[in-house]
Amino acid sequence: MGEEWVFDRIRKIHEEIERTLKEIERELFKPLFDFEHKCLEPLYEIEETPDEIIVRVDLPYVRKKEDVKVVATEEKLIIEAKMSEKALFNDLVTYGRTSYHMYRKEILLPTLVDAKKAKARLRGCILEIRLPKKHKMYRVRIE
Amino acid sequence: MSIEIVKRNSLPKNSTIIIGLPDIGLVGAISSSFLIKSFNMKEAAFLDSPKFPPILVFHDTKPTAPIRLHADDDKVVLISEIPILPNQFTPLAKKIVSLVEEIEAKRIIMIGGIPAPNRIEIKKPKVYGAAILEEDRKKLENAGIELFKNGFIAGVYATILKECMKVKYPAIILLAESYANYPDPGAAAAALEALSKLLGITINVNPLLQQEEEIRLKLRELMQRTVSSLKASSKEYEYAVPLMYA
Repeated sequence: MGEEWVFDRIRKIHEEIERTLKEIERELFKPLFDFEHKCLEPLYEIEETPDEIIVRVDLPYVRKKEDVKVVATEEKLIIEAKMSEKALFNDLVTYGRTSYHMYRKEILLPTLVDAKKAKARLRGCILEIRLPKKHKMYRVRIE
Repeated sequence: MSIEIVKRNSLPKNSTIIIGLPDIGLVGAISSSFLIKSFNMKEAAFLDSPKFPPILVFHDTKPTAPIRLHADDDKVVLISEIPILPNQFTPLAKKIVSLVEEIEAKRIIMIGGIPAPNRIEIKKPKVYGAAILEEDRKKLENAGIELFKNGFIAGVYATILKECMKVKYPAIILLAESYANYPDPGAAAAALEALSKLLGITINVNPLLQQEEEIRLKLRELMQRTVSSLKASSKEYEYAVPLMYA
């Protein structure tokens, strides 16, 4: 009876791993565009430092900061950006033979952040968002 | 299972083989594609294997294979429109070395990227060169290309270099500072400028720089797939310090 919680915990970890793998698979194989909303998905990378989460998003054709909208919560970012020129995919059937002029991406952050203190800048069509971690690390004094 | 080279046209003898495969920042793939276009190089052969993904590409109504060789009178370019999977590194490297012997090629020059954490600050990426033979290292220095002194090279290029090292075949790699996870036409332009100095040919990279945003946007899918395949090809070693510093 006393061991039941152990098996329950293992089962939950197993479910979490399965969910994460499915999420990775879904992210990897889904197309990088949304035909219905005429939005493209940008490439992005996440860097983690002791104090911050740094998210960099590649936004070709986005040249003005006024064209970018970033919404941050404790656990995710929502990025929308308007391109200065339309991206033409008129010869590609899979892209719906049309043009796209927006980016949209929701990014799940690896740890909770202080969204109010987030800062962003746009340089060379790369959007960099710095989000301070909610649980900061402190140096432990060695006695 | 080995790789087969299916010839469609003749391959020139005594040529230089230039290899640009999907890797860091897609520097190699962008460079090889630009070279083929710039020099109007015709498709000479394609590579096939039962272990390759079941993919056929159409360019301007014509079918072709994603991994192929284009050639003119003195250059052969190996291009791939799909990431090379780690289980194909050695068969591909062995096939390249056997092709080199068959067409008595002068040397192999590979083009790739090296991740630069401060790439966003860099206006003109630096290009480093590495070579199997001492005489090629001198060639690199004479062309004003800084030698790659210490560090790891991992992935498909490392496997090709290793096969060339076994038979002491002249092979050079040009590595341009690049974004790791985004297509980097700026880095490809820098690598091609280094190649032009090395080969003594003129390559006008302006069209590549003018199309930078379009290339970055349209190569997102290939970049995403390449990043995921690089994770399985020991690329993390490139961030490590070799043992000599221990």
